Amino acid sequence: MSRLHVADLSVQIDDHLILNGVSLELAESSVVAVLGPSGSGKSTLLRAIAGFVSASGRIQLGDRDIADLPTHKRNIGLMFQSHALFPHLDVADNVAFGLVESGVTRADAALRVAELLETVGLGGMAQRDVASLSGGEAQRVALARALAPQPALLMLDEPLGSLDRRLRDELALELAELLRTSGTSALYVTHDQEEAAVVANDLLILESGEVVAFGTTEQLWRTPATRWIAEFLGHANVSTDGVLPLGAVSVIDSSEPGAQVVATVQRSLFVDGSWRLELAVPEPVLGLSRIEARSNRRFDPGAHVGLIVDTGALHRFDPRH
Amino acid sequence: MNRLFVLLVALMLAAAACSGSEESDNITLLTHESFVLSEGTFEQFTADTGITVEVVSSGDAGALVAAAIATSGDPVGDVLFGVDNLLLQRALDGDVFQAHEAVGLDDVPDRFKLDAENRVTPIDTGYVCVNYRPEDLGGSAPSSIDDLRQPQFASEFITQNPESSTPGLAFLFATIATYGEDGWQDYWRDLKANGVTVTSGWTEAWAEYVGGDPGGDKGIVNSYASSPVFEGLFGGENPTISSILTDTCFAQIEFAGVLNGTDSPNNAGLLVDYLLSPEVQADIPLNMFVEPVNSQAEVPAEFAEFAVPVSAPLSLPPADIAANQARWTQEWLELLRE
Amino acid sequence: MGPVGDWIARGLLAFLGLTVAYPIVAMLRRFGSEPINVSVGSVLDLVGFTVVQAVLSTVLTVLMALPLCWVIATYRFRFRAAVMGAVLVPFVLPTVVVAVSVRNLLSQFGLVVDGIDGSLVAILLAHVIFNVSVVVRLVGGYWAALDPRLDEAAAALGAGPIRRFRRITLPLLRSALLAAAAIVFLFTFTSFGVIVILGGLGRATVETEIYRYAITRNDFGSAAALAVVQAIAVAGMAVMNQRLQRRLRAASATATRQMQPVGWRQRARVSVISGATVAFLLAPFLALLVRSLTVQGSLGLDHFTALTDRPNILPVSPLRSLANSVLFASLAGGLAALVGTLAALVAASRSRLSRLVETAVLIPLGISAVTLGFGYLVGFTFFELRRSPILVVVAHAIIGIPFVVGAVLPAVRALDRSVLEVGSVLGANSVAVTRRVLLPLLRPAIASGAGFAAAVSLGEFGASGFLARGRSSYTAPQAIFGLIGQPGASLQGQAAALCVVLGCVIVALVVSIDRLRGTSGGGWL
Repeated sequence: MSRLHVADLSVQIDDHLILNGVSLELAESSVVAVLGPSGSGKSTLLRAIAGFVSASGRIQLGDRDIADLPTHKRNIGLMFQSHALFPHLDVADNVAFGLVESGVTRADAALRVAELLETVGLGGMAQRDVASLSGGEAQRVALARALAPQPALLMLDEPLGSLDRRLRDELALELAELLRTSGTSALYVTHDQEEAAVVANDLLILESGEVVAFGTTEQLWRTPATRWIAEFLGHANVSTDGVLPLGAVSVIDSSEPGAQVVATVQRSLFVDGSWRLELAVPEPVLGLSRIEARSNRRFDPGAHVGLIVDTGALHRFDPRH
Repeated sequence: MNRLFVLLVALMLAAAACSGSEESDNITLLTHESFVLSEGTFEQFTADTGITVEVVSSGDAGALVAAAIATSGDPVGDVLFGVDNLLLQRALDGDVFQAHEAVGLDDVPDRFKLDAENRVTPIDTGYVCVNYRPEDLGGSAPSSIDDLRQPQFASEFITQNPESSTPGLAFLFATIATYGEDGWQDYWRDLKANGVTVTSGWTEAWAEYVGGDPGGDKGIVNSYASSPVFEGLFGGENPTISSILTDTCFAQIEFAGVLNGTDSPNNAGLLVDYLLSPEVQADIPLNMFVEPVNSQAEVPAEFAEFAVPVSAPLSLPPADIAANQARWTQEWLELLRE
Repeated sequence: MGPVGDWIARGLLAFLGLTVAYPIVAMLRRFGSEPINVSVGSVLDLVGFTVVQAVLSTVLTVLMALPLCWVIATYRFRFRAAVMGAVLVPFVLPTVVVAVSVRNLLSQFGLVVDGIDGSLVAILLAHVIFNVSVVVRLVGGYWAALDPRLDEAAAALGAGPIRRFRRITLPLLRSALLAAAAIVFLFTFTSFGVIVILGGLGRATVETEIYRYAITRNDFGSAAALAVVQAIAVAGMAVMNQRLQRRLRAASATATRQMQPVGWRQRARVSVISGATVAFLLAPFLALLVRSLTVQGSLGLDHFTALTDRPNILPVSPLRSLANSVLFASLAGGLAALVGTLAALVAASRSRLSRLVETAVLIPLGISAVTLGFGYLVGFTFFELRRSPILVVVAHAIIGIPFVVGAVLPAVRALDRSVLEVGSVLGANSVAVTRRVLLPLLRPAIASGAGFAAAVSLGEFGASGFLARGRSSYTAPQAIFGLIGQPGASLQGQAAALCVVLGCVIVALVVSIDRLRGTSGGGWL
């Protein structure tokens, strides 16, 4: 059964349609990453589900229709990029906030807070002043606070956005693990696909307030429906016809036999253990006049190389789009 | 910090050294905020004497006199105008003034001369009187101060707290002058039983008077003899004019004096003389709406048209006022709060 | 702040010492040896009632102001700046006008305010009308800068609107609320006209008694004794306020995000709350507006056009008095803005003198106008300073300074220090960082405080009434008093017209300050 069911959700602010008929399903205990360029309505989708902006459409959480409920009755958890920790409360009181609201006794709340802080790796920091926390610590407190009342749905809006790369990777893994073990259903807004891949089972891509893709990371990557999606996901070789995976292009020495095309190296960069080449071809190949390829060998700009292209690997876009 | 202090002290010493014993040709007239004369009045004085006058005001008459007493011997100005007979004794006791026998004093009737040593010179006189609107009293107008305690004027009379209002104080004095030390409390008990209203000041009282602005429902108010003049001159076309209950009128005489401690007593004296001169005296009625004390001064016809003559105003000797005012107001307060 | 901060702190303390402490000392030196005719018991009673009415007034004012604070903090709407200006209007109206209006208002609800017995309710109501603006401007501005996500996070955690207000908003507003409450408390602690007019016979506060002893009785010994009691009480409260403030942590300010009201429900909320509050505060003003347009029973502008001519009873034309008032307000507002901003910077710094400065700036608000006025008269006997308009500007400015500090200090404390550090890393020296980074960031708060200080001056609060001043500096409030002090429909009409113009001047001032800031959305007010 589905945990969250959103149908035809629209948000209009000052004659401006921010969300246009968004529908989505979130399975029990699954995590969906919401991706999209800035201004595509990612945060608004979260804010509409949370009840911060008025929206039309259906929002069903579990077996409850929550569209007309005020935020505090929706039973959701929220995490912001800015953490939004309550500055006047210490770590423990921040985490206990939602528990107190749901009527848990002080004693029970204290136990649960200690347990949660232990889980997020902040045991012993209960009495700390939130202003003294590092970015990573603040993020963990925010997570513990959001999870404490065991929300039916957790929504995270760029939760790791303010952290540095290394910490982000580390926390993303921790977060994924925590969401999995606690069986929490979550919507995860991010602009970072790697992070999305680590945390989420499924991706949802928004463009101009509309859902343009929904599926597993692999599905969307291998078979993007439109050129826009392919480019948004970071495919290098995208033409009007379709998308050619990087692995479909092999680079050989221009003197070696078997080359289908001879190309000129425009730029070469050493990234993630191999050379990434930007190549110019004299005649377009599968509609591409520039091709990106990977190579273990170094070729300097201006060098001529031979290319072997597996044309069968081309994924053609659905002509209906 | 220290250097700044040294500099300040040096400047102060320099300023002190500069002030010689010569009389200054710049005279400061210290007065209350209601003081006004026609434009050009002091230019004429300057043309006549070569002395320029700066007019400086400081609150109402009460604040002015209190400030003068507080700065006695080191005054803010050279001449003070605006002490009245209600405040006079305190100012004299506070050594505010020095003697100056003004030119023109002979033309002033003796009843205005309240200081035998001539430390102050009378300049103008007005009257605090009960005003009423006969048409709003069902045709039965009060004919004397005694009528105010009659049942037909129940809840019609409004006056002011003598602790916070000069006309209020004058009316209290009027009752003391009329009924004497032994009788005024009974009179006030009757007023209270008859529903007298007391406000803190003139403006609030006038606001509750039928002839006031915005106007209330009280038909009788303690105000000034000049109130009908204001109503006549500033009331637009067909103004409604209040009547005056003349036997309630308490004289209010305003004085000027040379301030004790001035560097220029002679020039200051010239200014006092000028204030008593027939020209300035004739200018007083239409600016401050009180009567000149100099019998040689001509009262403008516009003023005379609406002014009600007060032939036998009430008064109390300033010494009695100074000696008893605190006790009287205290007794009055206790009586009304009984 | 290093040594520069210490020097600024010393300068500020010297300024306050000269303008506040010195006059009090001078008054004591002059009158300290005179007999004192007040008993300890009566002083205790007096202080008791003074404190009780001030506390009640402060609590009611805060309660009355909070809904409008919320609207100001939450929504962006067309008349927002005008509403912020309108709440200041009662501030510049003569006390007697507001008091008469309160009495009329109460009598419509069947409560007759008797001149003999007076009414505590009427006193409190008038105090609320005068002081709502303090809370709306100081707290509303601060509230607007709170991070809305804190509220959202609390909502998501299951807290309803009332719980969120109690558990999140209120604690976060404590610092600003305390700053505003301290000002309202001191303002009502030293309230004079309202007590005298609406209090009835014999109802007195320390302030009215100082006036009575000094002015009505010329018993300066007793007045000086009461002035000392008042100064000690006020200093004690300023210290207490400063201690409390230190314990509170300022919530960091963010880029604000007021939203346009959406849907009829939000629109109704905004209109009802701002409309009702403004209507309540402006009831006296509306009566004046009607009066000013009524000429001989019909509608007309005669009273306004008459403002250009000098009526016999005034030394200058009402228009000229208005120009004087605006000039004084600009000077006093500017001086208060300068001193207040420096004081706020020092108070927020780690200078050794910061606590002293933070405590000292509040004190002028609580010192009797009589004390300061007479202190100036007997203290500043050099340079003919006593009749210099400079003293009037100073007397206005020192009452305005606490408002500037109240607006600027929370803004300084909420500043992200790193912004300033970035500025100095980029090679700017401290003067340049102050000019190019700090001041632009604080400008809205400074402007808000300066607007208030200007209103204080336009309303002629403080000691200036007792100072000797030349006819050329005759101000609008003086002219209004002159005009309403006599019968005559046209004089009363002109007084009303002048009040209306004065009210419009303060609204225009506030709206144009708002424009100057170029913020459509608000931020610090």
